[in-house]
Amino acid sequence: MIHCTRALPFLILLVGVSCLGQDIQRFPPPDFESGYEFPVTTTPAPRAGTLNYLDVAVLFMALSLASYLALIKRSRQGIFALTIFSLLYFGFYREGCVCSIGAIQNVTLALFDPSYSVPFTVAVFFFLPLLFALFFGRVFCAGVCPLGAIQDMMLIRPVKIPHWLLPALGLLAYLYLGVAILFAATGSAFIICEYDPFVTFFRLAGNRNIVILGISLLVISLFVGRPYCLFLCPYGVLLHHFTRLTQWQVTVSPNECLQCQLCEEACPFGAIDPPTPKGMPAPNKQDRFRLVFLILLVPIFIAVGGWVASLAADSFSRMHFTVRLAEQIAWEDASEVDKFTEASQVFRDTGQPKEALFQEARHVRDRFVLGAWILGGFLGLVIAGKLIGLSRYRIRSDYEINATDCLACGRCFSYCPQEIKRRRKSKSAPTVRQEAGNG
Amino acid sequence: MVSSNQEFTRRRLLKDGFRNVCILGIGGASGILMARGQTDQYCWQIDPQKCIACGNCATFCVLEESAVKCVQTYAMCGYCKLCTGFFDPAPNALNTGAENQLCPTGAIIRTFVEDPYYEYTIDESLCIGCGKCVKWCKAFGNGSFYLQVRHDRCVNCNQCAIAAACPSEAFQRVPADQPYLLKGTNHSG
Amino acid sequence: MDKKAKSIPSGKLIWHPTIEGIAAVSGIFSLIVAGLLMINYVADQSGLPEKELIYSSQLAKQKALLTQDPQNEQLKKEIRALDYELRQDFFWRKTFSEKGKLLLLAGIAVFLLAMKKLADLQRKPHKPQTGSREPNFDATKRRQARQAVSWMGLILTVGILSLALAPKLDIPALPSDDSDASVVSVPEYPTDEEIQQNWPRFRGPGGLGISIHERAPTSWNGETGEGILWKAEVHLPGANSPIAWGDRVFISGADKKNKEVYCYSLESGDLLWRNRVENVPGNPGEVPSIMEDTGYAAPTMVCDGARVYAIFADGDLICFDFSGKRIWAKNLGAPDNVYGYASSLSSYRNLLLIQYDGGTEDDDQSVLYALEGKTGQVVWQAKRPVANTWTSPILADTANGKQFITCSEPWVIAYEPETGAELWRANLMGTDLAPSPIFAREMAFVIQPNETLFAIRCDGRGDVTETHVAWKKDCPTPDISSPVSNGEFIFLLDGAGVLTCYETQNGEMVWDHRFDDFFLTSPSIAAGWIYLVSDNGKTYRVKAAREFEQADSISTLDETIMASPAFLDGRIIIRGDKNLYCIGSN
Repeated sequence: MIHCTRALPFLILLVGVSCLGQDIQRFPPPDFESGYEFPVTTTPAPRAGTLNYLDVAVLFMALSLASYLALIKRSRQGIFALTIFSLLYFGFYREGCVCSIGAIQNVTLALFDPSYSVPFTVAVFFFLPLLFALFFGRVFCAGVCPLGAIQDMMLIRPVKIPHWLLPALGLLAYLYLGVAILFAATGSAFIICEYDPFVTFFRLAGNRNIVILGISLLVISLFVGRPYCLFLCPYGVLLHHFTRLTQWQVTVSPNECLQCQLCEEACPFGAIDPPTPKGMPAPNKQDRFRLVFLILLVPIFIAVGGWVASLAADSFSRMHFTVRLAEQIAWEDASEVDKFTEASQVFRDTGQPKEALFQEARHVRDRFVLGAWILGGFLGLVIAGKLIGLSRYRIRSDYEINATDCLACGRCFSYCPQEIKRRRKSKSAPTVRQEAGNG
Repeated sequence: MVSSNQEFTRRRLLKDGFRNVCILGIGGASGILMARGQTDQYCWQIDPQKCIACGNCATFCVLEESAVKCVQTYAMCGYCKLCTGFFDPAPNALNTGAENQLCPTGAIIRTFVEDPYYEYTIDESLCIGCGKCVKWCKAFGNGSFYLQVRHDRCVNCNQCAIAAACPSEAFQRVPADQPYLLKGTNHSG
Repeated sequence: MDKKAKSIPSGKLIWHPTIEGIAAVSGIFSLIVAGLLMINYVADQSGLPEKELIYSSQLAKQKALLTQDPQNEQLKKEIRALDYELRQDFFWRKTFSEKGKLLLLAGIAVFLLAMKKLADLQRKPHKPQTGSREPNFDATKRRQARQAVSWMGLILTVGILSLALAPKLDIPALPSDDSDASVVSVPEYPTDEEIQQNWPRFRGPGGLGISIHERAPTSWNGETGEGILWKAEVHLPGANSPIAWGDRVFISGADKKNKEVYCYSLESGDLLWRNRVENVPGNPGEVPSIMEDTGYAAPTMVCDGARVYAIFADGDLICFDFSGKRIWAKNLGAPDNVYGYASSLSSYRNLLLIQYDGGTEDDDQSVLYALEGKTGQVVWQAKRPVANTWTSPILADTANGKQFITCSEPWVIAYEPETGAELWRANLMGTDLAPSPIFAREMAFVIQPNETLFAIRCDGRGDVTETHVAWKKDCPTPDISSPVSNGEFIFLLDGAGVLTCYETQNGEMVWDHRFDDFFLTSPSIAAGWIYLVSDNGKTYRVKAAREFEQADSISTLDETIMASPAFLDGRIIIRGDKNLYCIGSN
């Protein structure tokens, strides 16, 4: 290997030569005389595939148990214990990955990219909680979701958020869902996973900005019940709508409501609606007019939303690697930027035709324009839907849980005197006293 | 009272109907997705032919210690006395002194085999996946050092943070039963 | 406090201060750990350049000093000490951070549980308001909520609009929609010259088995490695032949479960990429039952200069670009072919041409597809009144333009490749066809195995069975290998090793010679010699001339060879059942 030493100054001159491309066998592997044998490059296997079935089984068991605890056993303590288990298993043991929220993107990508197929586990994680929601409501949120669990743990001093603010803040979740689907469908990024605020805690490591985001959300969680679930969670949006059709749902009182008002402040998530006041005036002409007007306005909302979002399609499309690269190359060619980026350098080194890249980028951008129209239209529809829902006249005679917003955490049970009576009948007294607080 | 009861029943029926539609929908959708899927699981891996050893793997991994490490295909290695992946571009002497080493953590172990050949092995517990040795080995050596995702460390994020930051699109999802893209060992005379 | 104490049962009185204490201790503990971690993090990150985890300007400086004073042993010692210290620090901080985080987690968990318990203990029951709500309570709430939603809608609109303020995407327009003529347009497909330089399909340019290159290796030896540039492992079996374009060589392979496409570097033999073919939309999901000799990857791939295409026994058709990126894939439906689908792919300009014959001559199963290479969309398709076959179509460059010539039972049919319009057809063929047609001297040559060699003039239209068969020769024709012609003569090689030479003009036999081997590959002509590769790896060379002349050297490779070699400038690519070889000299 004398040539190495002598060639060195020459080699140093060559520094800066691109190192892309194929390997060159510059120095043939020696024929060893000492009987040396090539060691083998180790390839540690990934997590065994069979363990994925364990995840599925645990998910199913946890969902079933959560349904049982929330609807039949009516035990906050049980649900709390399950929450801790889920936090430990899906959170700290599985380190937050495979998760139903992120699975939205895998399913979307599979729908739009025929070369990608959803792994079995991911598909189950996406569909199973929705299926449970059709029968038992959002039991997934109650005791299975590790993201919900970590926030639930933090909730110590609930501060009441004004009821009327919730639908408005809830819009953010629809935006998040829509944008996540747009980026997943175009193959740009999985933003739900990239910006998952809590996964950094499960892994005890992560990007600094995400850690800061996560800590802020957890600090908010000390006072506001589950801010991510209520205002951001895209999967929550799906569960919310599936729960509209739920067969059974959690109730505050095991029997008849006594109208004692004790549970009024029980729900930190604003899911308990008080009865409508006596003597509430029937809808007047103005109310009826508003409702009809809003319904007629739905197409306008959709059109305006689509149009507004389509204006931002170019910005959205920059999330896509190809578009960013094409734009960078175009800038460089027009001398608008001085420096090549690593990505553009790589592209130039491969010698692929720029025109093909530009064409593909434009093709991607066109898909984004269409996607942005759909996204905007969807958001317009959601806003219109919320306004219409808020213009409808409803009568509630009891304190009722709004099943679609209820996270089935079971906090309200112990507030109801009927429940206390039920427990006193079925169980020994000490538990009751403890649960009832100093009431 | 009767009418409200009727309405109640009608709503209930409607709800049941919709629910059944939803169940069928979920069943159908998952059926279609499953029928298409022949891959059980994916995991992330680096295509060594595309990798430019930019250094992002060391800093962008969500883990404290990157799951990407340098690997060595011994059959491709030249066993050079002057290994450009091991030595600083201008080494003071060809020995393992810190002043001569390229690796910032000293993760490459250099052992004498027979004159004039040396074996170079990666100590994975020290390697941080920065790819400095990879860059130099590829540019001036045989390219037997290259980066791979080590699956005993990788948590297999749904969206790999390094993949999102990779400038050469070298990260790809590969079937979990073939989780490595090792460089070939197919060199004859 | 007193008041409270009275209302709390005595058990709780004891617990209350204890829990408060736990909460305080764990809280302070967590704060301290968090603070230390923060300091550790800052110390770790401070002054690091981008993408560096360990860097010391001091060390860099000292190293620079050493280059000026290479003999300074003292400096070396200092560098080593500093380097050691730096690494120690780095790994110590890493360990500290890992352990610290666990401690912090535990501290916070205890703190939270204690705080939760405290909150439970201190929970005061909600005091219901006396008296009922005012009648307009609900309406007011709903009005407020509506307003909030409207405001939020407005904020979102403004937010999205602010995204729209970003500069418009500025990607230059395509040359095609640019009037500036100076811009060179990118051709969508390679020129004939480029195709001639490469080996883009089964039997090379046009499918005729002729290389235009002047240089071709003359001898090699698999045992000694002489004349072999590289060999690379073939991972999955396949009867398909290698194809090559530019600096790349492509093959496909498949078994019952796996289908894969491989790209090798022509220079080094490195496997550049290897892609599984799976999740192909429309795949029937069942493996067809086929003859073992045919295998699951019998058809040879094709390359159009920008992309490569491969088709498999189950009808999966897939397109990759040169970097291995999957462009599109589709399934053409399970082919009805008792021995297994074997017709190789062809390409004409932007089109991918697939002779997809199956079933019998009158069950309408056989189709000729032309797909847009870039997208996989069908451009034209032609139903064919023929039965399943194992021949591959060819692209003939006739005096009247290109003809796409197919040979099946019972029809030999020629098509116009742009449109799929039928040019002529001849009812000549019987069953079990494997040798592909060739074209020479404005004639197409087709073979009925063990029976007849036909020469058909290609200037006819419609049914030319009676009018354009120039000559036919009843002779022991090959049952697998396709013929090859240098224009003047046509050479037939049968499986048992008899090579026969006929005049193309009139079918007169010129000479024949028996080799002591069996042959599954088709002969090719390169640099004036016919290359014959036997199934046990021997390669004979015979001059393509009126006089029989065999080269002295017989080259050998020690494995079974079923695939026809690819000829490039000074190189031959041969696929054995275990390895792919590149023959040539440096």
